[in-house]
Amino acid sequence: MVNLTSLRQLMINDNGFAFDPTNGATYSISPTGLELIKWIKAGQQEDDLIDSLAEHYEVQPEVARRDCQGFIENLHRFGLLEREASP
Amino acid sequence: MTLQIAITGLHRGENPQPGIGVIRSLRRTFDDIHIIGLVYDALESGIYAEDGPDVVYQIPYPSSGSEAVLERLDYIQQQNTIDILIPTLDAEVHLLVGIQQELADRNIRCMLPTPSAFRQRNKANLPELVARSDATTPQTESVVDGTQLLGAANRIGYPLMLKGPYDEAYKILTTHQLSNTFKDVAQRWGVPVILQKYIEGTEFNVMAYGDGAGDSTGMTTIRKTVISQSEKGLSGVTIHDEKIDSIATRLLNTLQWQGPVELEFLLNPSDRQYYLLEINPRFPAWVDFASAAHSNLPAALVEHLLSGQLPSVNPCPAGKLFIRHSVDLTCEMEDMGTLVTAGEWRPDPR
Repeated sequence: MVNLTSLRQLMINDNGFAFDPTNGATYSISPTGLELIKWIKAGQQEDDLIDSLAEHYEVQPEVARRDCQGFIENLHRFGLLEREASP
Repeated sequence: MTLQIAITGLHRGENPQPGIGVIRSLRRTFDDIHIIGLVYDALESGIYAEDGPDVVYQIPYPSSGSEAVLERLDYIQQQNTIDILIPTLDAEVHLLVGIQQELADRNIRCMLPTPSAFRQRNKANLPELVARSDATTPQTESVVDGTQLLGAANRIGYPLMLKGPYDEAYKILTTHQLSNTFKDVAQRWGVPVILQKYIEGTEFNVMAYGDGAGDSTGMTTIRKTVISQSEKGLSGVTIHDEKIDSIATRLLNTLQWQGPVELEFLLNPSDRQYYLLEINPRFPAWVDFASAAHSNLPAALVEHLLSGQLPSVNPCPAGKLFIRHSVDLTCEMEDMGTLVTAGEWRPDPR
């Protein structure tokens, strides 16, 4: 399970410019990244995200997996996604 | 009745002072005020700004001592009754904190911290303050001479930050640089000079206004996004982080802070900790940026002094960006000459 609080707080405009109001950091997000964030916020897990990406952009599943995992890794690196501790 | 408010720190050059921002903030709220600019130098740029003071008086530097400053204030009082005095420079706050009774005797109202609170926020005393406030500050030592300097630097390690008691901060990499910078800073600002462990990170500044009883209002935080070579923020964006608000609130509560204040923090990306770097006993130079976004703390100070009630001021919302922009002012040598020779000058009515 991941904590979506930081991602939900992120202020994002239609052009992919994002501002984190808790620390002032800014990001430029690609259209694909914007789709992924939308799906993550909707509750999709990694396997669902890969399927959605492959279907939406008509790419091979291995390409979708690589792109999806790379993007999620970046979200973790910037503190926008946090793994929740096991109970 | 027109309120007469004296304000210092009118320079907006390379190292911008808060006075003009305070004046602009007050004019956003009050129509009937008369601004008395108190300046040390006829080249303080805000003297000549269109939105500057209504009248200007030169005053002696704080290093001249309280007697000289009070004598000058007495003279100014005879010309323009000062109802309220808002100092905006650290060194003069230091002096005024010690003569609050003398100011009150002259019916000059100020909102200043107590001498004890002022001392506790001295850079050299921050380790003790943070220990009582559940906060963190970089390893800090204060030194008064060359012998102490080397010992303290060896204990802290390089790189380190060297700071004057009131202003200026330099990143120090070598013993040679340490020695030369110490001499320069001590000559300009006196001692103690502060050595602080250098911590990598992003700078955040918190502005607030304390009521002297542990409460504060209008707490606004900015992340500095562009910093000049002399460590001044040229651009910043407001944020809202409960963690930094909570630390700042605890510090102001410990100090029972009264009046305007700016707290400088560094967020270290490695341990995600906010490190307290300095507490400035005044408004920051970016004060009017927050006022423009309806978080007007200079106006709150005046209302607090007039009513005795701490007004509730909302923090500036997250996502407001300021960028410092400088323009060239055109003024007459004759006007500057009047100020230099007569010690006072009254611009044409705006």
